Amino acid sequence: MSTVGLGRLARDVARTDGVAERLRADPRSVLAQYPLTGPERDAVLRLDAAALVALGLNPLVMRNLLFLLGVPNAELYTHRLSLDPAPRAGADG
Amino acid sequence: MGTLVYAGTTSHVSGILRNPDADPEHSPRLDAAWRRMAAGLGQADPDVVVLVATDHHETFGLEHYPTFCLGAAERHEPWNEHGIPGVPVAGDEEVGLALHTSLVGAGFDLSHSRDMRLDHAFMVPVLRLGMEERRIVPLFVNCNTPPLPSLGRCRDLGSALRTAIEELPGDIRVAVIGTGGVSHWVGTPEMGQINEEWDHAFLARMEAGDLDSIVGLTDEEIDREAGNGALEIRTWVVARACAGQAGGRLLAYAPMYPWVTGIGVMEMEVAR
Repeated sequence: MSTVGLGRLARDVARTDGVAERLRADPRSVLAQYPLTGPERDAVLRLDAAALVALGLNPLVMRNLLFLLGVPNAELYTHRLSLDPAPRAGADG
Repeated sequence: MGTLVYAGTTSHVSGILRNPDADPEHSPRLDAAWRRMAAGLGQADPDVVVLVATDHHETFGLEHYPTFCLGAAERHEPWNEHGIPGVPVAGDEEVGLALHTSLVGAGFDLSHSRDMRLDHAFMVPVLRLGMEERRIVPLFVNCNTPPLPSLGRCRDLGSALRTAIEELPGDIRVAVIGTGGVSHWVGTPEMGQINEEWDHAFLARMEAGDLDSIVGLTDEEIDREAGNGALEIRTWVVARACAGQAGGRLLAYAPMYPWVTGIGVMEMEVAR
């Protein structure tokens, strides 16, 4: 059910000044304000398109969210960007 | 009684406004097509335009996601998402409510909204076809959040909409315009692809008024062959059925790779 939370996050990133910047600067604190499951939080931190869609987020909403967080459309599924300073598992694999 | 005086359909990708000259080969043809469509609309001079479109989780979210929703308000604000321009447009509360009443009476249990903001699915055609000064009644159709209404149900809705338009009081003149499609993939690994062959086949069927074959398509087939964005052909089906199964005239088609969308622009003959 918490894909509702992901939808709210995507809307806030798009519409509320400063949310995208705060999310980049302190992602875990911002994500804690939304009703997300652990896997959803991790997927947002990794900017993981495939995981977000697999968790139930509409691909349209996922695309908007990741684009606003700096992921080019053409690289949604191939980029190595992350909000989390910890390295993305398998990124070098 | 009301009269349907114009019917047409167009794609609505936001690149149409953000980057209109994206392709030197195709952009001028598309521009000419939209100018012709705007001229046809101007000649028909409707009092109200029923815009049939989807929403991309801008107005509706998972807190409440309707299947069909009719806007009945004196004014509709734009979202201006994706960096597109937008202006508030006039609505028509009286017509919206009358259409809603007729459609519910005909067995279509639509939602209605007295404060319905509009995303690019509505605002791109408003701005590209010069409808800023016309009264708009938005009709939302869920095209992206399963379960979707079947194509057959959309055809029936279009037919019922025609009856509802003709039941409007007075001598009101109404246009119907469907927006969306054709082939494109949004937020999937295939994003950027366009299936020109599928688009041509679909547009030929639509031009011929062959709704029977179109409503026989499955969503799985459409999604696989033409992308999740092509599920928006529901809006074309509603407009086509509203116009009646007469002929259409394709004004332009172009595979617009810079906009990651196959673009179709069509006028439809209004069956009497």
